Amino acid sequence: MKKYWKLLSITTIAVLAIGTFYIQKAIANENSLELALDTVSGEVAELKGMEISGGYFDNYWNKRFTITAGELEFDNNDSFIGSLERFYQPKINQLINDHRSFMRGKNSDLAGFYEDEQLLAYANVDSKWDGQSRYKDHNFEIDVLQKGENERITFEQKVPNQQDYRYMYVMDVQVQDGQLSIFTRNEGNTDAPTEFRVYRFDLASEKLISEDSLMILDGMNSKKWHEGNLVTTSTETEPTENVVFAKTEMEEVETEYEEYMVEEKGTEYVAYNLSTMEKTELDIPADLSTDSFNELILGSTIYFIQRTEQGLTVISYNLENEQENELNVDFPSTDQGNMIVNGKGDRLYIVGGDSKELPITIVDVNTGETLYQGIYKKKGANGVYQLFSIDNIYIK
Amino acid sequence: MMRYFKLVNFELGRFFKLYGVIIGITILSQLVGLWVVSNSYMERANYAMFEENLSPAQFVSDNGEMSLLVLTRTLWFLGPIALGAIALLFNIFFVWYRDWFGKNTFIYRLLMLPTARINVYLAKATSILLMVLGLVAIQIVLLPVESVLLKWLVTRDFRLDLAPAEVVSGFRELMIILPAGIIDFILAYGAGIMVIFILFTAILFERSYRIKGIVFGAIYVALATGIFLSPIILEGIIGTNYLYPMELLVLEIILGLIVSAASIWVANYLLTKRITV
Repeated sequence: MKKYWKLLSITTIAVLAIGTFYIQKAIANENSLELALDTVSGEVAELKGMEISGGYFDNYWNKRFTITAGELEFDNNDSFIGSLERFYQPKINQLINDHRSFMRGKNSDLAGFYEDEQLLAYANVDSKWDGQSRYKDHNFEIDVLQKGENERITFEQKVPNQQDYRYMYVMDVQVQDGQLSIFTRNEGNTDAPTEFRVYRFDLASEKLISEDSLMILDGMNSKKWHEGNLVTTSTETEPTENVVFAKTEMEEVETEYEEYMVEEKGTEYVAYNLSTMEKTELDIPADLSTDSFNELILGSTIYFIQRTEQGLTVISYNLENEQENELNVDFPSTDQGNMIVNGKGDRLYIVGGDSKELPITIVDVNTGETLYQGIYKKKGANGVYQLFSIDNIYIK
Repeated sequence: MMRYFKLVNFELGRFFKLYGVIIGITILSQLVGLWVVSNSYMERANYAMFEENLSPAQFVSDNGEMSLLVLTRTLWFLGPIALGAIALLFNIFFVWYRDWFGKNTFIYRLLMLPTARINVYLAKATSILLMVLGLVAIQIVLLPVESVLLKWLVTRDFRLDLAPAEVVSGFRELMIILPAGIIDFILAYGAGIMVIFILFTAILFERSYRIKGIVFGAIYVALATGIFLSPIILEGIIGTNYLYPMELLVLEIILGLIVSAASIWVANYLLTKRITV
């Protein structure tokens, strides 16, 4: 035995030290970094069904976390196995768990999915890089799962007039009365403008039945142009009656210090109704969106969230009766960071990010009542540089 | 089996002096480094308190607390780790070529031993793995020691005491040697062992066919890497992620085992049939 002391000592030390290290780590789960929730008003129970994922960073810490129903848990940071489990966002993970074979090989962007009680639909535009400057051979890939019968409708179709488009991607998918609508953003070839379009397919015959241009974003010149976006629906997979697009005019202006700044010059909104297939230009005051931090649709109402000295102002615009409404909400942070807003039913969930603290507010949009207010902070010494950043909010 | 252990012990012995020196440098450099870094921090703190009338809390809020993470970002800490890594990488080649180019062609005696020749190959690989794990273990033992030392050197108001695991996860570069979980550890070091096997077999190609063998060795490395990474390469070409992440991991583990086993098998063939002294 004595002859083998080198082999034995190295093996013993290695096994003991490495073993102890990992066992200790697993048991103790020690954390000198403490992030705690101070409730300002309301019950923590209101946070049920809400999942926030994000990270905390400062000079020393670089920790990712998930807050589920108000309980913050650090992701087994950086563990490779853990990162595989968090590879997709929660909604995609749920879809994979429920429909493993349908979801296989699909693009994991939620914009391409639609889900209701009966079916789960997916649409994608597949293009090929021509090797130089643009994509070509744009091709719709459509896959619909009928949940009850577990049957699939799968077909492909070439995009009409595809030589006109340099690149296109799917912004939203909706299904109504056996018709699947794909909303796309088409970047025009050469001088052609960027366009938002809708393509309607009949699922029974697997045919494209109509297409329409919804909005044209023309870059008038290099000083003035348009930017467009889809005013997001609450979770991007749910059925909706209206799909709303926004187009903002941007202008580059010179300041008195001879610096250039980009200014928003007002936004136009267009709503597309899925039942009537009609588009309506909405009569929304230009400054409403310029002053807003966020906007989102719940049901048939658009909510504009603005930051004020006291907290937040939520201005609602009803698509059906064109009524505007305003309510004030306390926001438990003075820190001017970013904000992420999500909604479900008649509740708005507002979370602050990119700031030293992480404030959370839940508002009932019908009564205007603030249901919950709280704020996550680092306990103990606070440094000059510290940051909460939020990846996304998921509402079950 | 006893032959194999004897060979491992023997291989360890041949590198042991140099190994001891590396361990010594690691311990010395990290402890001295901690002393230097702590003192310079306290010097700055004292200056701020007595000359600029700052409170300890103010100083901490401007400069951050003193913790082992400050030490980990210095050359005192990283230097010896890099030294160990380079020495052991070098040893992957040295452990073979020394036997040919050292005095009295030692490989001749090794290959004549009344045991399967593949034991020589396995023993050399084991000795390298053990030395890597030994260095990692030394680092793990050093962390709590440094933690205690820090308590002597820096007063409570300025100190952030961290558990060893926190020091590691607070400093991402350290996670290369100590991944976050035990499964990660096994995966990372398993991949390391596979790399050692692949390189060893390439070296044996060169030792068997000399100049031509360099080409064979390079082809073998490319082939082994290609097989191991084939699912990832294939998905890249097709452009869709057909496999879910967990499935990909399982497939990679299987391929890793296949590549390792193939390396040992090829090495066994070369050692018994083709090797030249």
